[in-house]
Amino acid sequence: MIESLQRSHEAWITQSPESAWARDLRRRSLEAFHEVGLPDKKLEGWRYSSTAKLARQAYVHDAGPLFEALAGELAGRHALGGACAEVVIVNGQLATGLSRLSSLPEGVEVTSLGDLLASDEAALVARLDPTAWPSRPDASRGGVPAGNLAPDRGFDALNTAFLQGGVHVQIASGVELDAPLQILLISVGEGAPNASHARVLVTCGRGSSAELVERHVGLGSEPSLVNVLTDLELHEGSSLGHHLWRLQGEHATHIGHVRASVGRDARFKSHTAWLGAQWVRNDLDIRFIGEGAEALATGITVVDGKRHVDNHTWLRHEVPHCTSREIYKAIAADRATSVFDGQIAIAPHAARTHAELTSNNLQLSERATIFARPQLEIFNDDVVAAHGCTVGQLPEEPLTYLRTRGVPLAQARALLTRGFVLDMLAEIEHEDLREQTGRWVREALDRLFGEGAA
Amino acid sequence: MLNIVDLRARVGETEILHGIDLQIQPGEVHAIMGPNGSGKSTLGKVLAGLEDFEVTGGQISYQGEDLLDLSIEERAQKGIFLGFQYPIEIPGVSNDYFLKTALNAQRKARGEEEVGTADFLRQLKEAMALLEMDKRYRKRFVNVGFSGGEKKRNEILQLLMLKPDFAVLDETDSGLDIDALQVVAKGVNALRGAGRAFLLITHYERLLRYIEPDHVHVLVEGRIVRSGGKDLADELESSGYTEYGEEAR
Ligand SMILES: Nc1ncnc2c1ncn2[C@@H]1O[C@H](COP(=O)(O)OP(=O)(O)O)[C@@H](O)[C@H]1O
Ligand SMILES: [Mg+2]
Repeated sequence: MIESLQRSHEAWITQSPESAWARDLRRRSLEAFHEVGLPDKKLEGWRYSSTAKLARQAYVHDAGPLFEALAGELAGRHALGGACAEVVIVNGQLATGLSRLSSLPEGVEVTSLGDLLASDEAALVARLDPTAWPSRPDASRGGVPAGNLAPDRGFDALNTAFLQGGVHVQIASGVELDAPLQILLISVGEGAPNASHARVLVTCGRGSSAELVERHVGLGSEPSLVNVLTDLELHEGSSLGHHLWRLQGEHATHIGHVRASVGRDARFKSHTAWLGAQWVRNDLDIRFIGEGAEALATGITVVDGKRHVDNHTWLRHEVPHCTSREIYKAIAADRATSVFDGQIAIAPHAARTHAELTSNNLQLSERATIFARPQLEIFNDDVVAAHGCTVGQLPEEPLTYLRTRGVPLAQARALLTRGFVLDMLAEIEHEDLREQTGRWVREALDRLFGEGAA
Repeated sequence: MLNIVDLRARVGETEILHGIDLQIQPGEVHAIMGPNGSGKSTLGKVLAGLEDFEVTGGQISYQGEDLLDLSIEERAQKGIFLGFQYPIEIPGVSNDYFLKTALNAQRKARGEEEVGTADFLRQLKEAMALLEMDKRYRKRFVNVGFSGGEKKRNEILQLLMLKPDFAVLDETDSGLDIDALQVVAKGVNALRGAGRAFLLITHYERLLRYIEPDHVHVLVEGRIVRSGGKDLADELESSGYTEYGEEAR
């Protein structure tokens, strides 16, 4: 994999000239990658998700302009509608022609990372550097010295080394977005397996508020790799809803890393829905850096066939008085696998932390695999922390109740399974996005049970 | 319509119904009264086909068919309804979606056309108006977070929407204040006639003031010990079940 990426990157980069600092950052990132390599099963956090097959696959960097029409069509189907502004990224590169930004209010700026890398101003170098973000404790017992890449962060380094583009969204202090902003990332694997490395940076100024949809859609008959890094910075008193939807892409491998640093009195809501792609590994890292902050993280996974979805979350309470609530639900059918690993770390001085973690999992077939594990590391007594994990089948009583109303058993099962996940939608505050999420979840469930089954 | 002969049922090793005989004709309202633990709910559940019980003897024929041969959903599709003493919560499934699914599943099984959305909504609105239910109950998840009384009202809503031929209502009156009780009675009375039969299971005579039964039976320790007309309920109200072994109230 790595050789093929390097080859096609070299060809690609000659067409898009870059500044010296960008070249240097890429070189350092690639060196850092070579030191640690791809995360493998020897790492505690990667026990259930093998990258072996991925490592053997050769990819090209850019599927070329041939697919722009295809992507354009797709962008139409996946537009949020209404007055929503939209950034479209095709195979890692910002597609300016497909994006619609005119409706963004004053105070919201969207800049192209491709342009940024070409300019001499090394404005975001610290934020782009893959060594700047600490690793999960179980990946690096004993700690990793600053400036070094943690052993589990190989994909971050690859993302930086082969970064094709992306955006930096900056929301100025006090600006409130009325309509959600969508970042639509389309990967097209046609003719040859395609890899895309995109970065989404969002900076929420003091007291600003926004809803952001990060929608991933895959297309084409070839395997594709999406290695995306989403970096969210919430400054004091800001509020951000991040809706991450993975749809379609039956040949896609999706490696995601979403990291958020949440400042004083800020509110972060993360709503993820894994409804597509063949193989998914996503890391959600939320770091509280200012007192009085709140975070809500919800996740919906619907997997069937031989698909694989691995959610690793890591909530770091580093300061006092912060609240986090996390609820993940997964249903696994056929021979699919769902992994949930939720780590909560409460630092010694993070008094009066309130942390809740729930993971409920429904196993629809005996051959489906579910791993669910909460991990609480608490170094302060003055906290409220609770967790609950369940793995099971559908409860008998509601099934019987439905049958007494004339609903046949198979349909009753479908209805309850649907209810099990749709129950989560209530956590999504934004009405329109709640409904849209519901629509995608229902569509995924229809595929599972056959349309109209429930 | 319904003919029960020498029905015996058990849970595990314990026999709970020790030979029940009961005939119900179309259009009749029967009441079963009796002390707690006498087997009233068990009888209702056996009629609905719930699998916690094993029928060890006797027969039940319903509209000429052997009821015991039918699955739970088949019984419902053939017009049997059980109003639960303790209705079940269904998280994530909205009340209207649940009702529409149930109604159409029954219609489909009977070879009838599915009900359209507009028609369904009109029926639902009418039924909810009759039961004085706020329209937000349409979108609420089935019974989730409902009070005891709200759950019972929701059972009657299902009754009104599904319009069964034979309904067993298990202690639908308990936990209701007088106003709610009258609303529930209004729902049941709205469905009376048209050959529809009811079996009202109740611990108290109160309900029967609002829904007048044709026959009253007293069930004690898994046996029907007395049957009579409406007056039997009044008599039980004054004497309680003391002569049948329950402590005086
Ligand atoms: N699932 C069960 N398992 C064991 N015993 C049960 C079960 N359900 C009911 N019983 C017993 O059967 C008897 C009759 O119960 P029930 O039919 O609920 O009475 P009622 O409705 O008249 O109060 C009681 O003694 C009760 O304890
Ligand atoms: Mg009872």
